[in-house]
Amino acid sequence: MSEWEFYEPSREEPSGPKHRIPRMFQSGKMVTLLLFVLLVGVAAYSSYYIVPAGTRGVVFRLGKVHTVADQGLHFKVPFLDSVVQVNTERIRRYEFGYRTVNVGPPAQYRDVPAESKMLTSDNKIVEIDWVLQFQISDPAAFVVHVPSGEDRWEKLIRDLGESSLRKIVASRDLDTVLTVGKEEIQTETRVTFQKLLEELETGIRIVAVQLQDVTPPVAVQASFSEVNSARAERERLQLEAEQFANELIPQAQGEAQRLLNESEGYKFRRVQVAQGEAARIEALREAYMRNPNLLLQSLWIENMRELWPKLKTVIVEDFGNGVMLFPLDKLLDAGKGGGGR
Amino acid sequence: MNVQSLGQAVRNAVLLVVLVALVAVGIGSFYVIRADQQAVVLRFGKVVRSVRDPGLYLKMPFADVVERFTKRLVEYDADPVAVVTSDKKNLVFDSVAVFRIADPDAFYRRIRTVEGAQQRLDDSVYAAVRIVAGKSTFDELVFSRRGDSLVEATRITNDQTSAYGVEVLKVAFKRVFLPQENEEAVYRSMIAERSRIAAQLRAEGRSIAARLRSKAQRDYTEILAAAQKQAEETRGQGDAEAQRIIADAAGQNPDLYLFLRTLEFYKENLPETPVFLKPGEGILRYLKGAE
Repeated sequence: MSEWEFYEPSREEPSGPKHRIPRMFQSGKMVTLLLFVLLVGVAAYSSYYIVPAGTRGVVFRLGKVHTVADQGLHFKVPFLDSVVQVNTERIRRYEFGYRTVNVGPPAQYRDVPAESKMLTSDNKIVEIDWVLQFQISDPAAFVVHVPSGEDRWEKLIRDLGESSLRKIVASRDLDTVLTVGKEEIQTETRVTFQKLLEELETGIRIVAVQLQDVTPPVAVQASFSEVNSARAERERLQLEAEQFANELIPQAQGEAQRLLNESEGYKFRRVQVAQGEAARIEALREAYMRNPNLLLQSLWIENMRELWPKLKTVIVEDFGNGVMLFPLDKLLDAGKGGGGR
Repeated sequence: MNVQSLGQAVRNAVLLVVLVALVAVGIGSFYVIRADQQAVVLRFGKVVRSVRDPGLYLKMPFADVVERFTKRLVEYDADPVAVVTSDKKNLVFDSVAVFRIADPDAFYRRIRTVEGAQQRLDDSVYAAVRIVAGKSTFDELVFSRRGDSLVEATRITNDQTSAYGVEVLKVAFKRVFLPQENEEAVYRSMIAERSRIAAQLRAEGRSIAARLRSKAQRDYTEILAAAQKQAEETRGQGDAEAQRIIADAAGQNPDLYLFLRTLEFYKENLPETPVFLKPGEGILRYLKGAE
């Protein structure tokens, strides 16, 4: 409006007297022109903006959120529009319970016990180191609702994050937290915390909640490792006993098989011997039928021929009166001497 | 010509002054409230309106002053509070509250600055936490009704703060922990519990081992016993079979059989045995000559 007014006289220039022109330049006209050029320059300069890659620009027109611009070159209305750039791609990472002092290698960490120590539902204490990763997903909401200044909004997110995780951990007992609960705690914290951030319209999206170290407090760690060694001992005893059983059973089966084989052998032998004997009797039968006495006598003699040398035969005379005299000790000595006749 | 140009110059100068004045008044008549702001408009120190929505507004130049407040969230971090729960246990609450200025008029009249609001919240949050903690048991506060406790603490705080234009959106227990001396007791009980578990595990190990070993020994005995039984049966079958075969053969010629067995008996048992014989009998029948 005002620049238009100043411009009016110079538009009259061609119709006015020619000698006035230099004078007018020397006085007010020169200043007016300079002002005008300056104004145009400022207006031109403030009529565009560039949104770098990875960020988005929140455009306020007369205070209201007008639009959110993607990366690239954009135009705006000078003086009325203002732009706030927000990095929406970067994943921010907060550590809880520890801080990385030096990314290394070797990495160095500093413990923050106040952050890691927390209560469980069975009134015990567990120490959890964890990491929160998030990004700004709704830059307009973020710019309008989250406290300005990174210090302040970092503190807000940290405090609410801690409160969410601790609430989830407190609903489980120590053993669950230490063993199987990790995955669940991560998921539940993420869901609860995300809900809270949405309720507060922060425009923040949680990328991950990761539990790093879940350990019993230092003061009780020795007793926890004692449990571990006891558990190992139980396993060892069990394994040894199983090994004992694994060796003993085959041994029993082997011995059982031996007994069975022996008995089968015995049976076989008995039957074979009996069959042999039966065959022998059968073979002698015909001769026996013809003359029993002769067969028996000849068999007897045949046997005695073999047996006789081994006998300690003593021949005594019956003196008729029923008294038999013989030197017993000599007989026994003779017997030792290799079977007397 | 000179007079005319002088008059022109004066006219131009007056025009310029008027224009500058107009611009100044024009600019002074407007103000912009950004989306993250809210304001009260003071006319000679008195609040004449409060503005909550963003946009361009008119005001009386020079007379009106715009006092702006943030519309963003503000965090309040309370000092840890030691409380006794309804079941007489000690707990320390480290709470935070998230609030925003909901009524700029009341806020300007009663508090004016965010720092002032933080001071007021010291009292309100402290009181709210104590009230809630006093009504609840340890377990309720720590896990079973933690969410409800927070909702109640938020409500109680809000009742007090709404009067000065502050709306508390959330009271959160950043940390709930035990006083130092209770912590020691918890450690002791944890150690005792672990020792008990360790002892139990060791006993279990011994019991499992004993069970497995005795079971193995029992199996060993059973397998052998079963084998022995079967072996005896087999032997019995062998004996019976042999007996049957012999009996069949012997049944037809009992004399012959018994004679053969007797001879076998002599062969086995008579060697080394003194035998007294009389000449003229049996095998010695012919010793004294044939008759």
